[in-house]
Amino acid sequence: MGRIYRVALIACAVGVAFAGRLDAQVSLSGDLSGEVRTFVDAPVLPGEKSTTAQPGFSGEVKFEAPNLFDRFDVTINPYYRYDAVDSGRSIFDLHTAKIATHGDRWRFKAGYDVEFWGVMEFVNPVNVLNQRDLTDDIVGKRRLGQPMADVTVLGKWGTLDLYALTGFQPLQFPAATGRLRPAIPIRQDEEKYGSGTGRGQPEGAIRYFQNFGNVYVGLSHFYGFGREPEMLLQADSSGAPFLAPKYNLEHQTGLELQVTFGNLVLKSEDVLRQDVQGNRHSSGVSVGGEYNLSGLIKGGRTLTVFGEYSYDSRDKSLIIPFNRDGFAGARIAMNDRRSTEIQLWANYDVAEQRVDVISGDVNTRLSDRVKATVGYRAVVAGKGAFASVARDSHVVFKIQTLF
Amino acid sequence: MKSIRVALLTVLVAWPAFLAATTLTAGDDPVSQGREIFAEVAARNSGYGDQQASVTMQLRRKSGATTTRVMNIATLEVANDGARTIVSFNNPLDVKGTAVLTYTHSAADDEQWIYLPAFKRVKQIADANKTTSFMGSEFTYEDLNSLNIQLPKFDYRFLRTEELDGAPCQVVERVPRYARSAYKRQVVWVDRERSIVLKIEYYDTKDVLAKTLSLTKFRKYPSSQWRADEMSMVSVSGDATLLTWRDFKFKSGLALNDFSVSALKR
Repeated sequence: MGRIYRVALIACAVGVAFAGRLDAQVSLSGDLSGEVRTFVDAPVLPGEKSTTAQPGFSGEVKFEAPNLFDRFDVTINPYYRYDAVDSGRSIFDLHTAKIATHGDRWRFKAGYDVEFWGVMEFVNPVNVLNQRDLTDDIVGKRRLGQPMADVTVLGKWGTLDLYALTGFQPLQFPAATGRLRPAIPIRQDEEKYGSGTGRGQPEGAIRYFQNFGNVYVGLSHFYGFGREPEMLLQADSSGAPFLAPKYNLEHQTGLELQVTFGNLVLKSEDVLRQDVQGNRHSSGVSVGGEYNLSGLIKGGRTLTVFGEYSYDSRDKSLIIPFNRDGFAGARIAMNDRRSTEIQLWANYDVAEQRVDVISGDVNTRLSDRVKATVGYRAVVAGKGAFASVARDSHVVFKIQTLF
Repeated sequence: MKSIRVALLTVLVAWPAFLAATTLTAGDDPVSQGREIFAEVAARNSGYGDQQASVTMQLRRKSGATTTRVMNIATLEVANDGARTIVSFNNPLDVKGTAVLTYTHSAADDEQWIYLPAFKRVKQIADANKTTSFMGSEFTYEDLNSLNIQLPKFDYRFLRTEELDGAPCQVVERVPRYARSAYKRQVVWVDRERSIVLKIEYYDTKDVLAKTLSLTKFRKYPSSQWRADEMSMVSVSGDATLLTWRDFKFKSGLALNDFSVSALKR
């Protein structure tokens, strides 16, 4: 979808809002954030700018008009991020631009939206509908909006979702000036698709989920472009090598399982992938659990510890950074009036017997409208898939103003 | 004369025993009496169908600092199985859009999900989470859930009759029957005439008084339910939380679908 279309869509919605039909119901909220990434070491890859501080800003607006004409909910949530050094990190994305309606036993929505599937904390192989926002954070969870139509049918037997999708969103990679990239530059202008229709390829998905007492089960099937591309090594006219992302059409069948025993939650996500020609197969398995230790600490604080293992039969790379890796992490919610949260985790590559990443974040509310986050991403071993980012450990400072 | 004296003596001796016997038989034993009082509370509260209200939560620290949170709370009565509740936060702004869905079952463990707008993710919350603070307040999820009276969730014992701020009350002790409660017992003051809960004392697992909830400013709504406009939870530490309920709406046609995991995502 072109930028003009997006702008028109927003203008339309804002127009409706000011038409006076909705006044009290309409809500507008959002944030504007300043961010600085400070790298501990000087860059080593050719082209990477030698600044240690990488400033930028991001912002998003959420416009909500519920019960339009007593029937429709309209939500529009555009997001913009600007990075002064790495143009690959500057993006505009429509996280949401949808119209939704529902009856007693069904729901329907159409437009851009983000749909999260899965139960795991670290790697979610099942979660396939939306593309990852790779450049937001090396270990980030942000996803890009995806055009879709979704029919949900609800019954005592569970929930069934049917999706029709198009307008595929490719991964956004750091530019040559940016850090946290592979040694060989990736050229997005050389993107390839395993289908003649390219990004306009129709895609489809079906998902069923239900809780049976303390057991949650989800089953899904997706047909469309694999969200992680195959990387083709190519050379330009001067013989310089580059990587061209190629997105192949595939089927992915997924299983989600979660069992809750009081303080303990055990979970798993498993997928089988097969390309449409039936030549390529891959699988992914994530298993693990979280344990609530709140009873051990006083003052109403919540301490949750996580342990997970993630397997992916595909090769480890910066796009699939964890394929035979264990994770250990902890989250402390202080439950104070500033809603301070601390989150720590590290991976352990079982095959290579090394720690690749240690990550820590603290966020707190400075006032009703201002929130601060400090994060640290330490690239520890800097070997294998992480060799090109060995010197890219960094601190993230973020000040978010909300309205 | 002698027979009169014998009769008088008999009456005098037998009177306390007779009194004791009638008190016991008329009011049953304290256990079933306590249960009956709560059965009446539950019965008078049922039949509201669905309700919505906007709620302001004020956190008052002992130090004097105050913080305000604003939310909408919608509840749907479920035939023979408790209720479903969605709490959606509007303020502070960093949690705007966050919503918590709770299935309060009449006997089974409650189920709870949280929607995190930053990741557009719905996450099921472990049952143990119910004992943690609700948004940094003196309330826990367990406290909020148990405001929806589910009879089989407690054992009851009638303690005494006494006045609370001029209102004749029946004081009942209730002991949680469900796992992982933060409380050994609760002492509840029930308004005798209206069958509504006016005050709850919460005793922690070591049987020490932890906090006290007072419900005030009751109003009767057309569907014949009483609702408190103010709920004040005061902890023994001196910190307090005041919930102010406004704009109650009943029977607006909400259905199970409005309280589903799919409906949480906005």
